[in-house]
Parts: sequence; structure tokens; C-alpha cells
Amino acid sequence: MSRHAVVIGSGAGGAAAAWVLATNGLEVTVLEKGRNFFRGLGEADGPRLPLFGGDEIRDARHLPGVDPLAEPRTARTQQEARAGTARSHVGDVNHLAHTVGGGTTHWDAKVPRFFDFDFEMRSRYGPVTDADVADWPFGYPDLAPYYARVEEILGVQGALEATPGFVLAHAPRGAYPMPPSPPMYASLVWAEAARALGYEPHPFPMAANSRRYDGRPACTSCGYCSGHGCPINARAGAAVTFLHRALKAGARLVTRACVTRIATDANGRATHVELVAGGERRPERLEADVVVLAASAIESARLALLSRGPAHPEGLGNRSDRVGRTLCFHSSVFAGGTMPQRLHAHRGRSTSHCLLEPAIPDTDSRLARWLGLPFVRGGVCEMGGAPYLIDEALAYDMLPQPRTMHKDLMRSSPLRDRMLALQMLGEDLPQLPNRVDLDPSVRDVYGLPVARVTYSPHRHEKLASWLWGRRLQNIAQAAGAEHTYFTPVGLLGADGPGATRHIAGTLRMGSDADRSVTDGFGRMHDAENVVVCDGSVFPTFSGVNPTLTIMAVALRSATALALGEAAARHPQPGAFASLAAIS
Amino acid sequence: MARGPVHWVVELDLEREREVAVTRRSGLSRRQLMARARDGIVLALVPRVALAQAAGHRPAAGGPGADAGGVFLNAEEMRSLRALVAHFVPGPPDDPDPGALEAGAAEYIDQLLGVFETRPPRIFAGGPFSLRDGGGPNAFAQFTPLDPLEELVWRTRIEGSRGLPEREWNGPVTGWQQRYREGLARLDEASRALGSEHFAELSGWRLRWLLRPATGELDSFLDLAFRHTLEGTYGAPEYGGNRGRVGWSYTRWPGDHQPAGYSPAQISEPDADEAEAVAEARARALAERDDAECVVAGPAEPS
Repeated sequence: MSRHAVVIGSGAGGAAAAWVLATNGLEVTVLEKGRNFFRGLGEADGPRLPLFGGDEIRDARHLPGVDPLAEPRTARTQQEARAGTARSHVGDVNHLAHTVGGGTTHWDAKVPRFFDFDFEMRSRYGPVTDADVADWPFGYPDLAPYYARVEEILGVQGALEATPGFVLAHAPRGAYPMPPSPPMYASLVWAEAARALGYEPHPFPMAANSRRYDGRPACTSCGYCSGHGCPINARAGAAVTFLHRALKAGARLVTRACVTRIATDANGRATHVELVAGGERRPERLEADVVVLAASAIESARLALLSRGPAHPEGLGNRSDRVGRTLCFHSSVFAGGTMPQRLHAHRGRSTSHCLLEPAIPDTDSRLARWLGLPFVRGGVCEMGGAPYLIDEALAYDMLPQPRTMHKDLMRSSPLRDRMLALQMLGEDLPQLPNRVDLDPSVRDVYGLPVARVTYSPHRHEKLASWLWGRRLQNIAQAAGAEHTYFTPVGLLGADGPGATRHIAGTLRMGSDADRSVTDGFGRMHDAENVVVCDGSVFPTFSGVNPTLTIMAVALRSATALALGEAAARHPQPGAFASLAAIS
Repeated sequence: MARGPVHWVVELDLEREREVAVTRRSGLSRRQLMARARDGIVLALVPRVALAQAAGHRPAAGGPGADAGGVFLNAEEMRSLRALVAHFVPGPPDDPDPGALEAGAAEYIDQLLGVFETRPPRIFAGGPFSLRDGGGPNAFAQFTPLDPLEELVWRTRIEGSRGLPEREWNGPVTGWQQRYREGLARLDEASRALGSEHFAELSGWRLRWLLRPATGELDSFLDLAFRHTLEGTYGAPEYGGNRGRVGWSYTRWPGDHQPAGYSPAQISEPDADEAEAVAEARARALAERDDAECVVAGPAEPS
């Protein structure tokens, strides 16, 4: 009889793992807390066009997303935690979608690889005071074949010939499956100015079709990209690629299945999961030989903490008190200015160009040394996006101008159509006090304690935001922008989580069971039939978009689970059985 | 790019934008108008009534349907709500372009409050394409039915928890229906203190005083109503607002654009009518680059 794997979460990591397991002889059940807005997944003529559409009201009503009334989170800063404040915020805290496909239903689909040094930050640069920097249990060469396979299955557009040498030196790779789609005008304005100042901006690798690929159409650059479900399946995600294939291979998908506890025996092994099923929330249980935990960094840690058992009195895998700790967000820096001309960034794919120089650690910064930091590093810059229309209108309301100026601002559009903007997503150093735990009193619609996030940025992120923010502002000036600006971390607004949906680090991989929760193949040190396959396992968080790496690591861990460690260490093309020919 | 809060102050050449709006109505060339309006003359000389006529829209008060009750709100409440949305996003005669009143934002809000009167409730539009300019059925108008959990959550949000245990997973919730009913009543009450029988009759400094920021408990209601006014003005028309797509006119917002999408030239090149502004940017950029030091020749390599 084949082993039964219960996969918790149908997003980036869960879908990738489900595909590997289902195509290698395991019986697979994928449990998804949310609804399915795709059509034809797993069917011979699927996937068909989904229920998404370019519509901001849907987004404002949390589709696809998490309704903060039904499933709030709470937050506080480190300082508030020390002062005994239970929480200073209830509501939306970096919500990734709870829906089939997870965060990849509303992602921007930008998929750069991590750099080789990302996997060995501790040994290359040494320890950082007030942070817990650690090496990964494997390196870039171990992950490279998995990166290539994920890129092939998603269908990634990119331009190898335009990729700077320093990127290829630290993330060597072959050609992309597809050339880039037409560049966006707003991104081109940035890119030209950056080039004039000596930078090397280049087409952003993106999991969107520039031509028909894998039966899905080419992207039409409709503009409703980041934050919205793709109406034509041209932007790839976990659902239309890995999950669709897993279902075709026999995996079963159960929606509206909220896992409330992973049950374990006296030896610590997982035996079954408890869940509430359907919109009616019927309690049920499902036996499991192996549990794949892939609910995203915050929710996976929360579920582990909810899963107490005889051998796990403080929560599943939490003997070391590391579950939920070292939660990382990417820090977020906006920079830009206002252009005389309209940039129509609503035509395109959120952004089309990136700048990666800020993602390289700088070891020569005197300011960094003065602050006791061995290096300072920003992250990837997404050049040339703009908000949607209702978001723009709300942005003006945050300005000190009276609401009577609303119409004039909407006509002029300084914060949308004329806004030359970029967002830098910076590395966020892991800190033990930055953590997820269970809120003592706030509950979700299922009656369970919600995740409480305690977070403050490290001084490294603040310094990086100042250093790079200033340089990025200079690029905006060199593009001809007026009223240029940047938004440093930890100065304006609260000391709380960054304005990105990138999260990682709560069930970290490592070889030392006292300082990590999972091993190099995602298995919990204290429950080896629980395999974590999402961003929770990242020991450090690079300074680039994480989803490609989440999928690649999930593929590697699932390969070890299905075929053994040796097969995972040296993946053969045949190890990924039954990959349908991609045309 | 992900969205995030904005923290900076922008100074604007607002006069220019006002001109553009006037130009579209008056038939003057933009260049002609700019020459005059730069001096601040045109706007001062054009009477507001003329602007309203040029815009071709009915004024804020009166008109068909203005006295009718809504799906949830009664006629008096609708009257106050119409006045409120018109204040948030003004239309003629205060502004040359149609505003929230003309977009039907008040009706949008009323339908949202009474959303469970229709089946399926108009919470999530369908997909993938609206095709509202023709070419096929409008899938947005086929609203996606809620599942039982979504219905529970949305009823809690709109109707409030009403003491029902299944709606109080985090304690009692005041629904939007009650917040609007009380908020609109509070506006009338405050108007009476300012010597006006009804909020809709308030104008000038009294109106601005009443709606000034930081007026305590009114604030959270006004924030909610403002947000909903924006949705009813700038959102997809299938939800009942943005009538005639007026919110997508003066903003030059195209709305959903599938399955057509855009051509490579539309994506990658500036629009033809932006040539002057492009040249202005170009000149400024070249001057900046002359001054700028090219400090970054390449990143520092990790050791």
C-alpha cells in the first residue's frame, strides 16, 4: 500500500511538493483552507479561464486574499513586547492569500534566483550582533537543478544576454524558457537613467508567458497584475502548473479544509491531522503517513504551535523554542518622484525591469562598520510600478492636503500616472525576538488563537534603506523626475512589519537541533514524518523575491521524501517522473 | 510593484490639470489655454455655472431620483449620503468633471448595505472578462455566489453580530448598516447645531467645519464612507457605481482591459500627446546627469 501524504496548503511550496509526491507513487491529499477560483484544474482540458477579473473592488473585499475580519492577525513591536503590551494592531498583517494557489494567485510572479552567497552568509561575513545569521544546510549548486526545473514548469521569461555579469557570477544559469514581453515605458525611463549612472538594470525574470507556453496564452499586459488573479492564466502560479499536474497524477484537492492540529504519538511522529471541513466547519480527521506543512511562514508556525502532543508539549517541533522565531519580512523602501509626462504603468506586468546591485553585500561601508555590521545590503529593486486607481485615491487622502483637492490630484495623477516609482525589497536579518506566537485572546472564525507577530527591523535594514534610498533617489533625479523622495525604514510610520508579503524563517533548516527546527530536507528534527515545504525553512532571507526559491527547496525536500536523500542530492532528469512535455 | 503607504508631500502644477479638464469641454486648444491659464486667468473668469453646463451634468441638488429611498437607506438618509459623497468627490458646479454623485456612489453604498437583498449578493464580481463594450456576455455581472463561510463573514460585517454567537468569534461587531444609520444621523444632528435643518442643506464654511479631520467619533464613519465613495466612483460599474464610467474619464484610467490587452507600442512608448512633457523630462534629465557623479561603477563583491 502506498504512503498517504497530507499536504497542508496548496500554494507555492505545497503544490510543488504535491506534484513530486503524486508523480512518485504516494497517495496525496492537498488540504486548502480557502476556496478555489480556478476552473478545470486536474482536468484533461484544463486549466480553463478562472473567475478572476481586473477589478479593484474584488481586491478591496479580500479576493483572492484573507478576510481580516474572519482571520485577523495581531502585531506589536519588540519594544511593545518588552513593555508587556499584548498587541498594538489587529487585522491585516502581511496576509498571503488563503485560496487554491496560495500567494501565487495574486503575486507579481517575479522570480530571480538567490545568489550563491545567500546560502552561506554566516561563514562568508561572520556573525552580526543582535541577529542570528546562519548558513543554509546546502548551497547554490545543490539547488541549481531544482531552480531550472521550476523555471521550466512555471514558464519564466528573462534575458540571459542582458543579465549583468555580477549576477551570473553569483547565480550561474542557462537560458530562460522564454524571452521577455515588451518592456514597460515606466521601467524604461528608470532603466535609462540608471544606466547613465553606471548601473545595470535588466529585464526582470517573471513567471508570465511572453508566448503561448504549456497550453496557456501569452500575457497581454492588461495591467491588473500584482494583487489580482490573472484572468487568462498567462501569469503562472502554483495552481495552473504544479497543482494541476499533481491532480492529473491522482492527487486529491480538498478546499475549505482548515487544519486545526497535527496529531502526534508518544514518539513524536505525526499520525493524523484534525481539520474543520466545508463552509459549515464540520470537525474531521485524516490519517497520514507523512504530513507536508506548507501553509506559509506565519501560518505554518502557528499550526505547529497549535499542535501540542505528548512528545511536543510546547508545540510541534518546538523543543528548542525556535518555532515561530527569526521571522523575516523583506524591508521595503519606496523611491521615486513625479514626471512631467504620463508613464501609463497600468499597461504592463507591474514592473518589467529590476536592479540587483543593491542586493550585493557591501563590506566596505564605513557607516556599517561604525554600527558594528560586517556588511550592509539592500535588495532587488522593482522599477516602474504604480498603484491602481482606488489605491491612488486613498494615497492622496494620506497627504496633508485637504480632501477638497481630491479631483485635481486625480486629474494630475502625481502618485500614479506621473509617478516614477520603485520599490526595493531588502534583506531582513533574522532576529530571535522577531517571532510568531499565539495571541492570548484574539480568535479567528474557526475559534482558534490567531498568529501574533512581534517584529522590529534590525539597524542593518535601517542603514541599508538610508544608503540605498539616497542612491535610488539620485536615479530618479537623473530620469528627470521632480519632487524626488525615498522612504527609509523605521523612520516614518511604525517600527512594525514591512509593506511586503514576503515572509520566511519561522521553522528554520539547520543541522543543529537546538538552534533550528527542520533539517536540510525540511524534516522536523523531532518529528521526521513532518516535512516543511514553504518559506518557513529559510535560515536567511536574501534580498530578492522568494517564491522561486520556496518552490525549488520544496521540490528538493519532496524528492528526498519520495525517492530518498541520495536521489535528492543528485537529481537525475528521470527523478521528476511523468513531467508532461512542455511546448 | 507591491503597494504601500505614501509618506511624502507633493506640490503640484494643479492649475495645469484644471486647464486640461476645461479644455476638453471648451474646445480651446491645450496650448492656447495653457498660455492663459498659467496666469490663473481662465479659471477665475469662467463662471462655475458655465463649467457645469459645459460638463453636461445635472447639479448636485434635485434631479430625478434624488428624493427616493434606497435598498437599505430611507429617503432622508439617501439625501444626506448623496450630499456627503458629493462633498468627498465634487462634481458640477464645483468642479468641471462629474463627481461621486453623478457616478452613483451613494446608490453603490446603499446597495452594498442591502447586498443580501439580492441573490447572489453582489460581493465578488465574476470573471474573467467584462466585455462591457460588446463582443460577448459580461462575466463580471455574473456575481460569484458566496459559500457558507463567506456569507457568515459578510453578514457579520454588514449586518453586525446582532448577539448571534456564531458571529461573535471575536466579540460583538457593529455592522456597516448600523454605522451608516448612526453616522448619517449624527451628521444631521451636528448640522442642526450649526443652524441647518438637514446635513444636505449645509454648505460653505459650515460644511467644511463639520467634516474637518479629527472630529472624534464621526471620523471612523467618514473614513468608511470616503473609502466606499471611492469604490463607487472609481470601481467596476458592475457593482452599481461609476455610472457611465465617469470615474474612469478625468482620471484617464482604462479599467479592465482583457482579453484585448495592449500593443507593444502602447506598453513601451509614451503616448503621442505627451511629447511636450517627454521633452521637458528629457531636458531636465540631461542637466541632472551632467551634474551627477557616476558613483556606482559596479557593486562591491562579497569577499
